[in-house]
Amino acid sequence: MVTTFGYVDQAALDSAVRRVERDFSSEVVHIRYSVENNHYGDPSISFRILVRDEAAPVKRLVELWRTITVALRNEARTYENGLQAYFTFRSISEQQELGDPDWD
Amino acid sequence: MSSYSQELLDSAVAACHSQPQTQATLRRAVSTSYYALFHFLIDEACTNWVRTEQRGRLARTFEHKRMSNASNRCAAKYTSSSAGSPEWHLNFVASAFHQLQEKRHAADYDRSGALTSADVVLLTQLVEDAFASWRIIQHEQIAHDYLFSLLFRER
Repeated sequence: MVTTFGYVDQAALDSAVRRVERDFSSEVVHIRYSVENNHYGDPSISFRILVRDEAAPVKRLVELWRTITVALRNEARTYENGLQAYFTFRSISEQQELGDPDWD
Repeated sequence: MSSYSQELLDSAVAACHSQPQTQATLRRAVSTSYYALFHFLIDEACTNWVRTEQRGRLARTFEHKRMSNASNRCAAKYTSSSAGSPEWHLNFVASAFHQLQEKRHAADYDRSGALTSADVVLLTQLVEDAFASWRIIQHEQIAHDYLFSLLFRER
């Protein structure tokens, strides 16, 4: 993937994200991502993590946040790739209500 | 801990749970959560400054971007630390700050997407847990090195 800030290996990113999806499949439905610039204009990657409703209560979500954000940073080598990593979580029920295509 | 930071967090939690829940209350909750952690870290850093009468002026010199970059570096440095270690707690605080800052900007300025309750409740809880993690490591050298990095450039 060629971006305004250089080259990002999309196949490697896809593969990293799929590995994390598999490792967290009991709580996570899927993970989508986009490479873009953050509000400072710095290269970044935004992960959209769709979780099962059972994983959505806040205490469980915090525990998931602690582990999956580290896993995604490590697997996707975000810092080494010069990408600032951001994470957003949404439950299945919320997505069904919103129907946001970026999350499908 | 600064009572002002706790007041901000309490205000964010109240906004998050207010009825009816709207995009305005959710966005306010995100923004206020960020500022709770922002002022918390600045207060902790300024406490290291011996001359108390100068701390207010010192607090004004912190910059959002420098704090975000320092937090991102810190999070990357300690990303593989063992659960429960001081490094693990610091990684959590720094990661939470880095996330919150970008979320705060989006909440205040980007109305292209809807915020959801799950994500906003998560963000307020991250701040509460970051306060708790900080209390565990507040006397550790790595914690104070982090505070230093929020304000000063390494040479």
